[in-house]
Amino acid sequence: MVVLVFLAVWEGVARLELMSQLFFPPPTRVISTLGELIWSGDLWPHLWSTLRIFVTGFVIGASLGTALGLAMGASAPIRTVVDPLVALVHPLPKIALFPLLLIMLGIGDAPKIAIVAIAAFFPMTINSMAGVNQIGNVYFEVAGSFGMRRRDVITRVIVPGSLPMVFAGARIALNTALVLAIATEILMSNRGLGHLIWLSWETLRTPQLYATLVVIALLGWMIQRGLEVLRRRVIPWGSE
Amino acid sequence: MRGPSVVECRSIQKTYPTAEGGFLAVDGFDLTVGEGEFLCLVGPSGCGKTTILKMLAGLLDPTAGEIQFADGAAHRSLVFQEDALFPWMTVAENVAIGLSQSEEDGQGRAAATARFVDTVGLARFANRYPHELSGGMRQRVNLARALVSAPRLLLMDEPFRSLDAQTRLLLQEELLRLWQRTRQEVLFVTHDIEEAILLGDRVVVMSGNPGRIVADLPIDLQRPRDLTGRAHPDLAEMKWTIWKLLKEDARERLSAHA
Repeated sequence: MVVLVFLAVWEGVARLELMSQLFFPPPTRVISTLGELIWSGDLWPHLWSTLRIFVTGFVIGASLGTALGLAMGASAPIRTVVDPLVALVHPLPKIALFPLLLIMLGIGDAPKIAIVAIAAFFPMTINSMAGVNQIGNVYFEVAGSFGMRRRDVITRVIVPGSLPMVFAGARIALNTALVLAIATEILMSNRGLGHLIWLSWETLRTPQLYATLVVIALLGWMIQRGLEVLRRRVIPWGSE
Repeated sequence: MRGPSVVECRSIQKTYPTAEGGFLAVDGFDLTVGEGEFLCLVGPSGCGKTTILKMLAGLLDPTAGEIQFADGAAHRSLVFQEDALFPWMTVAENVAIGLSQSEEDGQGRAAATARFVDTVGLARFANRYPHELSGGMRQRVNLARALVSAPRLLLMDEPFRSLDAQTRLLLQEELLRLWQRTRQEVLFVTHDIEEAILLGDRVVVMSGNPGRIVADLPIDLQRPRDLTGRAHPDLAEMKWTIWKLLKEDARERLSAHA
């Protein structure tokens, strides 16, 4: 409701030329530009390019991160070895690593996917490890007292017990991964939603810029909604 | 004490390692559990009764002394307090965990699980999650999980402590009802003196820290027990006897520290 009022005010102010239409085009123009992008078919290759990099990078980074995080949580020796490495690399702004990856992996999709993977990796590692650590001790006592095999303790206690925090990590990781996918496209690409933003800036087509932002926002929203739906199915037990 | 002993604890000692060198929880503890005996271990918090239970369950090793089981009695199950059900498993899956060491195949396990879920009256809730159940229902799942493998020795760690009085009464009745059928050995730990007397064939009273036995009383009340206590006129007297022991000991310890 508030959003509609806000948009209406914006529309009015822009049309009355109280604000520069270059910086703040009226929402109606943004929407019509968006419509053009869609119907002309120009949007889809860019969207597809971004999605490809985002999904590939996320899947690689998140699965490695989750596996390592669970291992670190379950095994003190692994944690002792890996924790310092994580603590050292995690604070680095991932985008700062992009030039390094360009040197190592060349120009093309590989460095972008790598950055996205790294961006997804750290939140998943940290949250998965925390997920294991917050599993109450009593559950391990129960497992021990009924003689559960080590393999079953991992699959039936450690993994399900850490799932709520794994999903919390995924929420962050998905967001960061998308941000970085777009960022790499702004920096170095001729395709993708990030590239489209940059192109709009270069050609001063502000409505197109806004339209692309809308697409990105919608994409991010749908991804988070998708995660939430998945979470409800995978965690039916009312997580604390 | 009836029958030959099924479990024997000899001079059990347990010291937990700490930064200051060690915390002596239990010292010089001797106990035997006879055949078919329902033994209650009562004592104040911190007297080491849970430590004893965990050692009997195999979760901890004694620092000194030994625990010996007669044939078959080494098959034991521990009934935890109500928050020990796996929240991510259904009632049926939780109960099936009790069969982790069973050699039966999937079908046999499913049948045994279903049978025990039904025995504790939760057949309709077999596919629900613990968070959907009341405290009393969760405790019944704990019971079923412990009983499903037909253990020879049942170890119970203050299982009804967090339940309200009415639910506790119902579950005590249920426990005795199930026990009458199988008559295995039970070691029931509680801080509730009345509960210990009403459930047990024998009450062993432990004192503060480090834990040691101050009394070992046979309970001659007739079975089936009336858990409201009305049918047992000697109940009040027995409660008083035990309470005096604990009170004296608590007072001794207070003045020793002063």
